[in-house]
Amino acid sequence: MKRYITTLALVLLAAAGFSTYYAFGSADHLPEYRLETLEGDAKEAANLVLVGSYIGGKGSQPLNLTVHGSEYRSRKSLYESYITDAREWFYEQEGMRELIEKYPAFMRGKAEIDSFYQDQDWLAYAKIPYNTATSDPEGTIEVEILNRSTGKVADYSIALTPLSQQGMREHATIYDVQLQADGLHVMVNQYETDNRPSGASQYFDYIIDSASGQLSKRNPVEFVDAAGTKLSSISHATLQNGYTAPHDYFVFSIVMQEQTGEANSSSVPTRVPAELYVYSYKSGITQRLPDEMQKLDARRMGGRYISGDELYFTNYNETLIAVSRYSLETGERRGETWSLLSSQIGEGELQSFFINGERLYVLLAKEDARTVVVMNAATGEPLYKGSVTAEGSEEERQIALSDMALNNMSIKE
Amino acid sequence: MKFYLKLVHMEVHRFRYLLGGLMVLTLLMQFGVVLLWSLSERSIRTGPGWSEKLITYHPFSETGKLTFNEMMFNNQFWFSFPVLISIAVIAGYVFLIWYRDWLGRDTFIYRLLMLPSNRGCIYAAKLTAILLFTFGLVSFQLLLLPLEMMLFNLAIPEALRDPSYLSQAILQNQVLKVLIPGQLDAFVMAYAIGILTVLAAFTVILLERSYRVIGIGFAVIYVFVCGAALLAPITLQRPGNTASYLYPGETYSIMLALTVIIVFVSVWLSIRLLNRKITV
Repeated sequence: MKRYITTLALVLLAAAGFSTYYAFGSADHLPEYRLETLEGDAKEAANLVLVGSYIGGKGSQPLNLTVHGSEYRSRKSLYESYITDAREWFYEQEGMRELIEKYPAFMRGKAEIDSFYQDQDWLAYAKIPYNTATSDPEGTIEVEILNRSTGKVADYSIALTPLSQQGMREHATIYDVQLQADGLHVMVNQYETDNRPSGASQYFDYIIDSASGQLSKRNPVEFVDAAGTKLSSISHATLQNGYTAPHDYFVFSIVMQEQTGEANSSSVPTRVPAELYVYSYKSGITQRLPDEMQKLDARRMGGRYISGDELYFTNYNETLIAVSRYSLETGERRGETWSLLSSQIGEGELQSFFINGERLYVLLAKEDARTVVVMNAATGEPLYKGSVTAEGSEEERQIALSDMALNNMSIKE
Repeated sequence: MKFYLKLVHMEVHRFRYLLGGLMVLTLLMQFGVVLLWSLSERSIRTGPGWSEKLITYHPFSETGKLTFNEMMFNNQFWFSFPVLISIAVIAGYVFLIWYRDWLGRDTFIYRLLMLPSNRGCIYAAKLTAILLFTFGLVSFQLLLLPLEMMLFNLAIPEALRDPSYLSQAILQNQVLKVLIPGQLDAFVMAYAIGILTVLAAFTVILLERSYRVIGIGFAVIYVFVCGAALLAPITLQRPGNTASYLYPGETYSIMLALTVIIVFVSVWLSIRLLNRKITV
C-alpha cells in the first residue's frame, strides 16, 4: 500500500479540491436585493423588473431586481444561459415563452415580434421570405393562422405586388398583423432600394380572407398633411407597442425627407419633424391626428404609448410627470391631463418611467434610496408603492444599497 | 481491476517529478507575485505623499483599500504563467504518454502489450492518469489560493486592506475563471470537452501507430469528422438566433447525442486498434 502513496495522494487531492470548492467556496457573496412593498397591492409590481448592476467591491455584476429578489446574470447555470434563456430578449416579450411552451410546432423559427397576432381564439404569423443568395424578397407574403381551440393551422401564400413597375429592386418589411372581421390585415412597408435614400416608399394594408386565403384588398396608406398635400419620401414610420395584441388602429409617426441645396446637386436630405397619423383597420382610412397632439413632440417631452384605442403622451422633467390621453378614434382628449410630482411619492428625482397597458411605472431615486410607484395611467390613481431594500444588518444594507445602480425597468411576462 | 490500478500507479509514478515540478513552479511563482506586489503596494501606501484621495475609482473594494482581488486582476500574466505552462505540459503529455512507450530506450510498449491482460486497461490507465494530473493540478491551485490570501493578509496590514472571497478572486484571472468556473455545470461541461479532446487525441495516436503514414491521413479525417459533427448543430442552428428552426434545447440535445457517439466511437476504435491492429 505504501508504494501507492503518490497515486493515492493525487486522487485525494483531485477529489477533495473540487468537491470542497463547489460545496463551500464558490458562493459569490453578492448582496441580495428585493423590491419591498410599502403601500398598495404587490401584484401590481409582480412582473416588474428593475434592471441594473451591482457596482461594489466584488466587480461589476449585471442584475435584475423584482419583488421576489435579485437575479445576478453571473449566477445563471449553463443550462439557463444557453437553453432556457438563450433567446431571453425575445421570449420575454408579450408572452412569447408561454406561446412556445403551448405551441412549439407553430412557433418554430418565428422570430419577428411585430409579425405576430394573438387573441383568445387565434394565433397568426406573417413573413416575407427572402432569397438567401440575393437578399431580395421572393415576392410573397406567407401567412400561418393557428386555431387555438382545434390546433389546426392554415397557411397561405399571397403575392406581394411590386411597388413600381419599372423593375426597381425593392424590399418589404412587415410592421403589424391584425385579425379583423373582414380578414387578416398585414401592414407592409415596401421601398425601393436602388436609389435610396430618396427612393419611393409606401405602406400597404394587405387584407387576406382568412377563410379562403385569397387577397381581398391591398389598401395603400396615404398621408395628407394639414395643408392637404399628399406626403411622400417617408423615411421613418414606427410607433407601436403591444405588437401582438388585437387593436383597431396603427399609429404612424412619420419623418419626411427634404432635399436641401440645388435640385441637381448631390444634396444631403434632411429630416423634418415627425407627424402623427392613425390608420384604422376597420375603415381603411388614414387621418392626421389633431394639431394639439402634433405639438406634443415626444423627442422633447418623453414617451408616447398606445393602449387599446388610446394614445398616451407623457411630459416630464426631473420632478414631474404629466400624462395626457387621447382617443385614436376621434382624436379628442379623454379626461384631464394629470400630473405627478416626485415629492408626492417621496424624495428623489425621476429616474425612469414607462406605460404598459393601463399602468404607469415610475422609478425615483435619491442617493441610495430608490422608490417605485405603479399608477393607473388613465386616472393617476396610485396602486402600488415600493422601495428597494437589501438583506443583512443596517450597516450591510447601507453598503449594499450604495453599491447598486438601477437604470431601467421592464415587464417580464 | 488490479492490473488497471497498477498501470495507473505506474503512469503517475513516471510523471511524478514533472508533476511535482509544475506544482513547485506554480507555488513559487504565485507566492512570489503575491509577495512582491503586496510589499510594493504597501510601501506606496505607507510612504510619504500618499493620500486616500488619490484613489477615486476603486472597483475592487468598498473603500479603496487593497484587496486580494485587485492583486489577482493586476497580475494576470505572471499569475497565469505557471498555469499555462502546466496546461501546455499536460497537453504535450497526452501524446508523450503513448509515444514514450514506443520511442523510449526499451520500447516499453512491447512489454505492456505482451502482458496477459486486457489491453483496454492500458488505454483506461493512460486516460485516468491524464485526468488525475489535470484535476490534481487544478485542485492544487485551489489549495494554493487560500494560502496566497493568507500571505497577502500577512504582507498587508489590516488597516490597508479589505476582505476578498475565493470565488471573486478566481473571477479576476482570465485563465483561472475558465479552469474553475463559478457554476458546477459549467465545470462539468468544460472538463467534459477536455476529456473528449483527450479521447480524440488518443484515437489519433493509435491510428498513427496502427497505420503509420497512412494512419496520419486517417487521423486527420477522423478529427475533421469529429469537429464537423460537433460544430455543425451550433453553426447551422445558432441557439441564440430566434429564426433558427431548432429550439436551443434541441440543438444542444443533438450536440450531446453526437458527443456521446464520438466518445463511444473513439473508445471503441482505440481499443479495437490496440487489440487488433497493434501487434508485437
